Amino acid sequence: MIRTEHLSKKYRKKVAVDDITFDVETGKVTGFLGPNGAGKSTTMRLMLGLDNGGGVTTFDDKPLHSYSQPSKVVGILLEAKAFHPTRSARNHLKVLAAAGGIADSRVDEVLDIVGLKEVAKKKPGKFSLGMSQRLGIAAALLGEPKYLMLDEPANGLDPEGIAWLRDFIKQYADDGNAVFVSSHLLSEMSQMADNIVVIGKGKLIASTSMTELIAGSSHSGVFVRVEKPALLKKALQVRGLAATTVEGGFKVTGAKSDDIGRLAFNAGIPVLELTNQGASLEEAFLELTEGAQEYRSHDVAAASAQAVVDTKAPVEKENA
Amino acid sequence: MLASLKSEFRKLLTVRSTYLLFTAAFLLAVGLIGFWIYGYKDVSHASQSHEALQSAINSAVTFVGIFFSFVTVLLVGHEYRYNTIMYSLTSASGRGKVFFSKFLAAAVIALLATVVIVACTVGSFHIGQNVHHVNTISQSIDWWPATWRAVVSLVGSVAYAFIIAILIRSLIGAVAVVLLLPSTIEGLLMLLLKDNVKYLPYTSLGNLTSDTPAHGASYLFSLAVIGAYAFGGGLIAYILFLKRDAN
Repeated sequence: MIRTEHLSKKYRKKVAVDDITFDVETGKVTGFLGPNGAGKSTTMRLMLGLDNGGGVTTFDDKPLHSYSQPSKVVGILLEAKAFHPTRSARNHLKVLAAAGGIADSRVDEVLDIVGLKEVAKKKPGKFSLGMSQRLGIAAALLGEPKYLMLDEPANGLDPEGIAWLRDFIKQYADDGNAVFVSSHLLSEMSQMADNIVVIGKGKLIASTSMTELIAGSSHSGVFVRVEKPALLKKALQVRGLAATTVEGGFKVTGAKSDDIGRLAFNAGIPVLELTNQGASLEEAFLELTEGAQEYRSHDVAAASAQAVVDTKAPVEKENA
Repeated sequence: MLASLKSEFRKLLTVRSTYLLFTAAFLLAVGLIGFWIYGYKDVSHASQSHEALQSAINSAVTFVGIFFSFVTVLLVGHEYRYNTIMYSLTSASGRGKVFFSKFLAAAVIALLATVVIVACTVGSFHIGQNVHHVNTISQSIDWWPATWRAVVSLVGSVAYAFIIAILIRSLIGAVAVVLLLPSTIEGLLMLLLKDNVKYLPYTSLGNLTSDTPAHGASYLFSLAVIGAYAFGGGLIAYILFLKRDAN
């Protein structure tokens, strides 16, 4: 298990990471989410000892640098283009293998795993972003580490590459390892992560399982269609449950479908439809990080409407 | 430590800049200095001085020192420029190992290159004279003093470049400083400091590879000055390398 305790980092007056504590469990994929500028990369760098700051990170109860061969403990991908552009892909990995005390034979193995064997002798300076990511993943896998820490590994990958990465990460965790991965591709994350850590403005917002994160979202609920909706609403209200009218019925939050079914039965209300509606990871994420965005984009539709109003206004004034 | 050292050697030997700079140093030292200037062209000097070959070797060592300063700067600077430093720092069990491995690898490569280039310079010196059909007077070289001065000069050049690169961490900035400090900056300071210029780092390096030390310094004095700068600068660079964020 990777355990991070009270991680913190300040750049002059700006707090980049503020007292973050969470665990990355073995045998699971832990997704790391946060808006741009939330401090995800800084947190990862702190965990690896690349940045100096407060707090402690241990890998199986020991700090990374107390291991004689850290590359065999954790494999990292923090930046896709982290290589000398004119050193061939194979030589790049050989340099890293030497540093980690890893046999050279492993280099061709990982090149094969990530599908770069054909371009092993090529200079990576001309690689596409997707190929660079694959080389970065190969570097992370060199030491067959128990832990993988990947920062936006899917960036630039084609759909086949993303699918491969997703399956690979899941399999890697299933083999008894732990994968800590940050990504902005929430649909991908929802398919592969077991646990989720969410940060915003340098602070920990959530560290929980994917199931709990989604269940806890206000977007999750039970869709109900009954013959006497007013009667059921009243019965729900008595129990302190909220019901919102939606198209074709209403949505109940904070209760399980079984409980609502029983309630309706006891009240003698015929139930026509009772469906669990889980929130998407995106909905849960946006709800959690509302107000924690460092950089907020404008609503394009609203901005366009405002622009139309602004351009019309002087004309209307002139006409008046 | 051995793993880090092996990795640093691989870094040096798998980029073309190392070979380009070696080739440039080789051509200048062996071709221009050994063969042309001291061997073929400057016949009167070679035929009248017992120390012509020594001068050629000193010049060759100076050239190798300059070119391998840039090799050292590139070794460090590329790590920061391409952010491969994160791999170096997370692969080793301590930052100190990475620091010393980089320096050792750069110094050893520079010394090996010097052995090759000096040997070839001696050869090209004699070839130049033979081509010109000159019968030179016997050449005298005090091998022990010549060797220690060459080694200190080389290691000193690499150490200065290494310290500058670690402190600045910008490839272009470090190249500019290594380029300007010995020539322009110390050249201008010479006007102000006069004989006190012997306390400056690169002037002291130059004294070690000159036929006679300038500005009232001795070889041992220059050695002490170089040692002081290398130790003091190295200590600051080491502390900063340990304490600063990776990049």
